[in-house]
Amino acid sequence: MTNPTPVEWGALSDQEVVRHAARGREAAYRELIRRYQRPVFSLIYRMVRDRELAEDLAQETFIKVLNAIDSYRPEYKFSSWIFKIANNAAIDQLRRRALNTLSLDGSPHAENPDAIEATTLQIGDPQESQLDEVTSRELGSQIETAIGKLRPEYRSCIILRHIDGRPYEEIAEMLDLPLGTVKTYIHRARNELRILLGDMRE
Amino acid sequence: MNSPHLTADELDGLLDQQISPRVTSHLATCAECASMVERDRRVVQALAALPYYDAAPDFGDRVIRGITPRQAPAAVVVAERSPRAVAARRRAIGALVLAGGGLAAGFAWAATHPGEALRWSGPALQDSGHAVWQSLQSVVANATEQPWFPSVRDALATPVRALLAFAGITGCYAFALTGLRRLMTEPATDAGW
Repeated sequence: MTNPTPVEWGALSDQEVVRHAARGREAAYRELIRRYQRPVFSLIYRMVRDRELAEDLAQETFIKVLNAIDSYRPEYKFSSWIFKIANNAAIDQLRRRALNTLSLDGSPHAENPDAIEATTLQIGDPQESQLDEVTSRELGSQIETAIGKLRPEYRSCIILRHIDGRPYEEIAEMLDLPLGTVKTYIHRARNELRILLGDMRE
Repeated sequence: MNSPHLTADELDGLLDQQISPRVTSHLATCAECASMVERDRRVVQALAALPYYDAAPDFGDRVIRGITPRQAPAAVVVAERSPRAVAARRRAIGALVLAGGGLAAGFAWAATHPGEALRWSGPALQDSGHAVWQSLQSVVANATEQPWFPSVRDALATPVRALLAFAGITGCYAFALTGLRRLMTEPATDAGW
């Protein structure tokens, strides 16, 4: 895994980085991890609502993807591939452990106050002013709570569409769903969020 | 109310700033839809403002440690044959030796007794040769009447094409034979034996 020529990793497309990764270059692996660590971890974290579990599933996702990098087909977007595997891992976990209820205030598996604190969803940017932080935390917390109450399929669709900003077609490809179903799920999810947020404010 | 309420597609379009004249005129007169659009916008804005979360700082290292190092393809391991397969193989070899030995003995006897051999085999050979010839003729006649025959004949018209076709067929045959052999040598399960 040596790097014979210096490579401007940031300037390369995903496909080009994947080609380097397929030759076993560790720097290419690290570049793919750098690019997708946050969105993949955030998607899984919002799905399973448990930090420790989300880290394990995200790690599993990256290992699976990087071990199978030879089988990646460049006609598809790399992001679609990795998000598909991440979403499947999260959905499988939710099915296995019936974790699809909200645990914004810490993992249901946390056994002491430190564990609860460590697994609590962290809302708000640490650099905001105190007032902004309170408002942001309140709204962010409300919407995170509301997302947690959605059905898992609606949850992944709404996260990919409105938090990650993915187009409908890509979401349909990632989740192996017809385009019409994706649109319906997102529409229903927004309706539910509207209602849930309305209830919370009243 | 002048027109039907906004559809899901029209609501999506509004969020992407695609506003048709019908939507504009409907929103001007329908307070219910206008309110819904406003609340939808707020939800979408709130979603878009949500932060990404970071995994632990050593996440990348843990992933790298978990990746299997790239290895050369493992050597093909020939499956050990089961006792039943070995016995069947021995029986088949025995039968082949017997049949081959019988044929060789027959040829040897015919070579040393040509008169006797012709007297016994002549009429039978004549009859069977005639039957084979007739079958061959009917097969050829049948083939030449088929609609695909001219295209096959044209395809094999030159020696190069014929050679290529022969090579292709031989390749397919060898491939099928190899596949069959592999199937036959798959390790047998001993369950129930």
